[in-house]
Amino acid sequence: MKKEQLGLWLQAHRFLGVTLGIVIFATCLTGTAMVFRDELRLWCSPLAQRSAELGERAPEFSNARELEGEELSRVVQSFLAEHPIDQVSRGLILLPDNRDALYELIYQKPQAKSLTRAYIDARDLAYLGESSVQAADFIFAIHANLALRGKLGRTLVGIMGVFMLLLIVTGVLIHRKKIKNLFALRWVGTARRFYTDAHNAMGLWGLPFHFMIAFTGAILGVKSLLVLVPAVAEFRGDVRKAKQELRPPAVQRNGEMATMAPIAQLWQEGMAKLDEEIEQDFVPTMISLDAWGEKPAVMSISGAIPGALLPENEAFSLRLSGVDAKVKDLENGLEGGMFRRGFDALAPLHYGDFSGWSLRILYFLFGISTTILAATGLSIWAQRQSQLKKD
Amino acid sequence: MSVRWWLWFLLSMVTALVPALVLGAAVTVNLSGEHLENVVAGLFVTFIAWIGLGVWSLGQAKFWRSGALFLLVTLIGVLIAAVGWKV
Repeated sequence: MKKEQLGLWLQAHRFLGVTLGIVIFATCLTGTAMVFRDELRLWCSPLAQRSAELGERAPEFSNARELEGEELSRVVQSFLAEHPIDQVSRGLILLPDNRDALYELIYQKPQAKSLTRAYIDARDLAYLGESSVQAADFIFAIHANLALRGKLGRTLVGIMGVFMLLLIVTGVLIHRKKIKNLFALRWVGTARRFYTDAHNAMGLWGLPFHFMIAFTGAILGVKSLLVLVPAVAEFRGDVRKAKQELRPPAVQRNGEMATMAPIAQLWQEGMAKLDEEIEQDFVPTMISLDAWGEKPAVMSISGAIPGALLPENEAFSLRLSGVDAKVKDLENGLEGGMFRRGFDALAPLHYGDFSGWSLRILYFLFGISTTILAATGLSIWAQRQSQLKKD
Repeated sequence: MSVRWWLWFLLSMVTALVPALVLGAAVTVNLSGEHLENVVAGLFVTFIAWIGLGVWSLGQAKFWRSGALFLLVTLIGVLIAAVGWKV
């Protein structure tokens, strides 16, 4: 490789690292904490307080597939008694699982800036009340949006992911043919040498993880910027049609009131259809009530397919008419083509939620190594600056 | 870091985006099957081409050299897209 070219890559690596190092550090640190977001959510929820008051551990729940329709019906009635989900466009109810024995309602009140969350204890169906912003949400907001509203924060994090990817690639190009860096960590000598050794060793040992996390994070962030041109190409320049295909419009209220089918019936019909259509083991994790109380109302049952690299709450989605409980459509992630499966795999790969505890601990440890990589990179630069001043 | 270097760096990334978008569009129109599948394929091609061209351009000592490549790739991409459009 030409010396001149190597110098330019080193310059690019240094420049990107110095300008974005602090933001990358914060994103990696919050991302590492997000490995345990379910535990953080449970910790902040009223269920944890109630269990502490009762002197009991948070209960465990096996699988929402075993839920009785009547129980779900009581849950929806309890939420409806306290919250206007029959007046908003969509209400989401997260079902209890083996980590989190709670029913959680999420929706946005008209004119409200943040989401409302309310809880029901899965043990005795007691209504536990609302909670405001949670620690887990705040940490996630920093990681995914830099705590900014709208698409701007998400896109900025995505662009930062692109630059993190460039940092990794330029780092490899600079350090190639230096396998000895894998084992060098010199404690004796200057601080800069120690930081350099730690930076090289962390970078090389965790390279596949750093690359995967930057790649998936970057695509998740910038997809809205890049996807429009291929979408428009596919639809021969019809932008509106392209947008509709990519993101089907939400069910719209039309003001025409209608009597809703019983929740128990909707649940039974839905589960029977899912049992019939999905051959693999599946776990319902969420139901959504769209335009509830009016003629276009839709209830969706969606969830996870354990062992498949598909988003946790979107591996499958079954939509039923809220009025007559007829099945509208079923989307099964396992039936997607190669690229769709690749795209669906991005989020579970990034968040490490496609397996059990051992994988999450591994993600946590690798997450720490990516954070240390950013910190040592900045330290090397700081040491270099002070050295240059002395000289 | 000189102002020239900053400009060169930003221009490299932005110009890398143009041929990448054209390539993504070209791949998409040449595919058949589900709409969403094609769009996602185009997204992947766009992203990988963007990063690839961006990294390549960062190692170029002379900007005209990377500029010439961008023009060439853009031209090829436009041709593929035009053929795909007609077919």
